[in-house]
Amino acid sequence: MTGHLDAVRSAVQDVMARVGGGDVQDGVVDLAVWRALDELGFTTLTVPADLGGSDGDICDAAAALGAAALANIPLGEALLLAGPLLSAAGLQWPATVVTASIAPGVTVDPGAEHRLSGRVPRVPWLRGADRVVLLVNQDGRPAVASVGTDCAGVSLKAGSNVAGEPRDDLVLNGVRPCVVVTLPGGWDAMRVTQLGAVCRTSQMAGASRQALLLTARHVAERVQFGRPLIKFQAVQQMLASLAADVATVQMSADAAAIAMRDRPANADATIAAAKAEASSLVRRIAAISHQLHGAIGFSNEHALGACTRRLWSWREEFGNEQIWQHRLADCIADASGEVWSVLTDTRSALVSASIPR
Amino acid sequence: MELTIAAVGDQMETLTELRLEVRRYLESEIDGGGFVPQADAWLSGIDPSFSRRLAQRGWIGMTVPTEYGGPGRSDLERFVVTEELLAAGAPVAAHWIADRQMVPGILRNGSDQQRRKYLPGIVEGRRFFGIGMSEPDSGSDLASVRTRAREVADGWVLTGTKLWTSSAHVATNLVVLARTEDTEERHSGLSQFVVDLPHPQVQVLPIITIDGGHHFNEVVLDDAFLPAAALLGGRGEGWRQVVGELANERSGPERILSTLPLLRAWASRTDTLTDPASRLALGRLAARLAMLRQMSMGIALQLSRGEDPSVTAAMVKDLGTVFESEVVETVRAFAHVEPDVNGDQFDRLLANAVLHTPAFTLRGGTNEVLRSVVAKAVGA
Repeated sequence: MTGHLDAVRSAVQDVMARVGGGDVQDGVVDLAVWRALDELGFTTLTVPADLGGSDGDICDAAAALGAAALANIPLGEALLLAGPLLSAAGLQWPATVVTASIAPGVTVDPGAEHRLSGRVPRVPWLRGADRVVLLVNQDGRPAVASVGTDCAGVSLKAGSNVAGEPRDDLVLNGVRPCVVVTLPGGWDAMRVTQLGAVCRTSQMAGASRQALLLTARHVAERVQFGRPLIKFQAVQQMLASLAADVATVQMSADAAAIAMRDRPANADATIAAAKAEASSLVRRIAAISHQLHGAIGFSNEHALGACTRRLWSWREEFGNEQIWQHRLADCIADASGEVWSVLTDTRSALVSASIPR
Repeated sequence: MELTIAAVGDQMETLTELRLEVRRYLESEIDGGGFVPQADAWLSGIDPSFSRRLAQRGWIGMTVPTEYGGPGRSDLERFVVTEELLAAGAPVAAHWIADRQMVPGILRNGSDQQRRKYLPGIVEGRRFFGIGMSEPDSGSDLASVRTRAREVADGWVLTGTKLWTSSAHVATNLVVLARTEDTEERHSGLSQFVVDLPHPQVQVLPIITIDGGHHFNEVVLDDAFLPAAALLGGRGEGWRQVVGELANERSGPERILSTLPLLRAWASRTDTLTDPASRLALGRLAARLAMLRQMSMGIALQLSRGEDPSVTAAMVKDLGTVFESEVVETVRAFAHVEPDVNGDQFDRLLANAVLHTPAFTLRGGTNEVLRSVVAKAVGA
């Protein structure tokens, strides 16, 4: 991490310490945190200045997202989905609480008003958002549609993930969108799914780091058999494994964000590997964190559950490890089994190689 | 303490040309029968003539400055070349220790005279080193070494036995950790020495491993006289110097890629890509490898900036070496072939990898010891 990203992270952590931690209910957007981050430009890092944003990049967004992983706000959807989609279409940032989703089940009426109809399952934080940005198909081409959640014809069916975060089904019945604009080349459902994967990987990194922090503190303070837990070798071994897995998730988040920022058209393998790794490591991270906390971590009042319940949700969203492992295998198959060329990003240089058989 | 590993951006991409140059050269070596790809060849693939061919291309001792006969290239360039050598399963064991450990060690701790004496030979692929650290009664607990160096009129006399010294039977030199003083604090009073081989009072005895191979040795120093100039670095500074080498020793790509030749061979078999279960398993291993590699590159980047990533290096070595075994177990389970040291190329690669598996998580510090290093840093 460069010093610049550390500064982003620490500024967001300051906001979380100052404004976060209020008495927020599950499923309700924490407007105090959203506004505080918004004032500092952290909700619009992926939007250029001339479109009303704070002109950062995907890596800035990933760093901010990691630091705000536990906040009850649709920051991930705003930073990694709505921001890039609206900006790619040249649209102004709506300056309100925004969420976003991929919406293959929505049709765009060919009439002048582009009325939208269809269902979008499990839209994050929909009930607390003022605006929802959708990736839709318009005449067979990917387009971005921006819809006010209070428009006529919009209804929702409340749902949630195991972290208690809203995952509401959106139902559109001939809704007049604020705008529908066709996206430029390179923007399709896969690209947006990859952005979603970068998003959840960054959030998993943040929640994992928090789980490690809580666990390291607990084993240093908790005394059993006359000694702090950390004095037991069995505990040390587990803590070290936890730290290693958390570092791997963090590296996955960093690598995915860098790949998406620097070479979005060629980021498939790195993002697939990153989301697959982060998702598959959740099992061990949650297991060790809870095991080392003992029964107290299982209490709803304890902060650990806020981390692990999110991890258990996010590992599934935008594709779990099996989905992305399959995608990475597809990349390898496309390169005729040249796994090393895929990993070293040298696929374009593939020659009739002699590989060990 | 929070542990961070640098994220590598485009620093590596600029090295793609070098990567492909090395890759193509190694392909031509394989095609021409120069070597047969092996798993774990950095430990067991001893081929001095291959080492000299690499040296002619400037790929040994790459970071040695020009004033000491080297090409003065960067740590990251060396990293890329190293990765390609490992990926190809090339027989690099003869020069491995000299290239990985002795170049930075001699540059950091050696006198000008020692640099001039040893570095040019390393770069030319003529000087090979063995490490004399472990002993019969000192494995993980290295500070308990009993080999003794007694100061005499014009030098030193060393007595003791070193164990698990890789490639000592082809080495031109040994670097030996010995006790020069009895001290209350067990980490002080140790010093490093460079021994020129052959030496009349140094006996090298083979240790045959469970694969039937001879890469390890027992080295007996029987009142071996060394000139005063054989002391490497400061007297009593041996522990500090050895610990300084650890990040170099532990974070390298060889702690992740020892079984990559097997993975590559398996991935390129038609059955692997057509069987859905194998394909998923391949995706799983590749995803893990991709991220472990990112961490290894990040640590290399930190080393090249002069940072000390020894704790994260220990962490990545733990993860990487477990992964190396996981590759073997996964390929074995899905490939439906029996490992056979006399079989065809794939069966041999598998047999070789299976028989080397126990070493992965032992060498360079057992994973359990590494985890206690990590736990101390994280818990503090």
